Amino acid sequence: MTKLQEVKGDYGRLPLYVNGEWVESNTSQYQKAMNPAFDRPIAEVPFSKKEEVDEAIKIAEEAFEKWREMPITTRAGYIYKLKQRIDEHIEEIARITTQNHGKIIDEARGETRRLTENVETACSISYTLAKGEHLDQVATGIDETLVKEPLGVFGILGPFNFPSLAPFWFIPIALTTGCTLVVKPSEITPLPMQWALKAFEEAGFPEGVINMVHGGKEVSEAITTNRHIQGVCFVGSTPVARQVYKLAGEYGKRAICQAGAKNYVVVDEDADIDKTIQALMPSFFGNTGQRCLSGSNLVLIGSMHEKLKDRFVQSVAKMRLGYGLDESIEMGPVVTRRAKERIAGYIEKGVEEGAKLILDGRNPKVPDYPDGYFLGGSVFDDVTPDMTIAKEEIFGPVASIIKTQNLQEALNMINTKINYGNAACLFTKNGKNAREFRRRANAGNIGINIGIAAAMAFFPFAGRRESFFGTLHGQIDCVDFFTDKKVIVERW
Amino acid sequence: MSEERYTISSLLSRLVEIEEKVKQFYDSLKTDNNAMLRENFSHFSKEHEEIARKIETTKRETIVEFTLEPISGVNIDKCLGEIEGMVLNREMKILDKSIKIEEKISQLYTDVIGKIAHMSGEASQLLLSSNKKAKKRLDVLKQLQKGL
Repeated sequence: MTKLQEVKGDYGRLPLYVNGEWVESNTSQYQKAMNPAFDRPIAEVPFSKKEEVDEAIKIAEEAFEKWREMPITTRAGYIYKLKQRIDEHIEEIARITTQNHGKIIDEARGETRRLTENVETACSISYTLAKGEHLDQVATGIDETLVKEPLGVFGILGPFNFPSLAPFWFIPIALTTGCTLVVKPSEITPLPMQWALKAFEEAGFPEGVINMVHGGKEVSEAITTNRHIQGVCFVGSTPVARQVYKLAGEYGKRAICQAGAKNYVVVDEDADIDKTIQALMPSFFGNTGQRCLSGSNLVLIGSMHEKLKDRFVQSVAKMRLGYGLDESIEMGPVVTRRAKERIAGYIEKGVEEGAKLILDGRNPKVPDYPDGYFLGGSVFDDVTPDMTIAKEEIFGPVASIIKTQNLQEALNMINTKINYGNAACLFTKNGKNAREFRRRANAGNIGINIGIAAAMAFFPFAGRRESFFGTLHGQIDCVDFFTDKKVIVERW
Repeated sequence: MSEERYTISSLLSRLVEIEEKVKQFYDSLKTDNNAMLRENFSHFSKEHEEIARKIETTKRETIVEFTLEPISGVNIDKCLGEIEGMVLNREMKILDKSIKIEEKISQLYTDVIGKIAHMSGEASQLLLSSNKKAKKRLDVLKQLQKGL
């Protein structure tokens, strides 16, 4: 299988996008964006100065006054044009995602397809959204009307693992509702979002409606605490999400903070083994395990432990590792060398705590990519729910098998042994058990015979407990986040 | 025999390869002395080219991220090898070859559709319609065979 061509080998120093123009940052602080398959730098990421962040927010605020006044049909027109432009760039964004993040091209294409869905969903709601509610004659001679008004400027703080999709959970809906934006993509994987911004430029969005700055924690804080910012949308780990949420609260901002996870996947005794194993592969090892919906703890009920374990391990051991631009590759590298070390540290910890490492992926042979941050799939057996590897988010290609006697025990683990509540999945042929599971598992996204319970754009990306901070979720749910309700009681 | 495993992209890329191979086969027959055969082969070549283009586009634009399961149970390498073998076979008559090749493609599509329907509805629809076209080509080829 031939390797797909990279869009570019080197993207140089990344400019900021402010007021409809690409501008070089005045900063002296830069970080290298890498291609993790080769340990090769492919861009320099500026860490924007606070003045640059403030300037971008000021411009977004000025743009907001004009953008919100634009007729809905005109504003929606831009979103339709955005959809066309994104479609034209979709393959480029996918390849750049593979190049900068490491995920295989199928996963990158899947990510960009989901990105497009979010734009399509924004298109679909643009007119109905603006309609509001009206009730005639609530009292004699009095009518009452509810309108939804856009709030202003919002900050979007993106994660490294879905570098273009996650910001798009929010961007199209924010713009459709009439808000303006300052986006800060992950400093580790900024390139897909950088490239996606071309589509906005080409769609001819008015100056200042969408702006992009780069950087790390300081830039996120500068955005969150700026007095002109109405709120922030964050996707990332639980410790950082908690911090962003706290800061947003302190400064009186709205916040959606989608956070980390520790997801259980339960396999009932009667599950279809072939189909289940097929679904477990992308669940545990898709995106090299770096997704907040990844399976992490694999709970095998009763005889399923013996029936499934060896076949699962064989499948994992067979996965082809390499650079994801080769379409036959099944798992790419993890995102950074540090991530590789951290994951390997968890594997070490699992061994120390007495779990049985039945497949060790720490030293995989990937001859063509000797410097890449590769880890093969690792599988632990005899894991107990109190072990560190069963409780903490590993965010890597590691599966921890826990044996249990029945569904009730599995549900108890999900609901009491972890603090996260992003996703939980069950594989079964038993409708009663499926119903029991979806009703009782305390997680926001439930998969029944699905390994990755990823909601489509027209449903909220749910999540609860320490996997989510806020009241409204990403995707369609965030309509109410970007708007406020105004009620008008009238007598004439 | 080791089982072949595909990602959906690698599988669809192999189908593109097959379509291009068959297109080349029909291109090589465009100089046939029989005008009716020539016209049909030219038309078939265009159809295969169009299908290859559509599969490539579908692959890039329709993959759904949460269903990226490894695909096994289809052996495209074997199928491609058999098609190549038939193309190079000097003993077989042109129409016999064409019929065998189209039958092979039709069977392959039938096998693949079931494997990818939940991953990409568009890809599976495309292969369904491509399969219908393969069957129509087969009908035409069989008619031509009777007529000669």
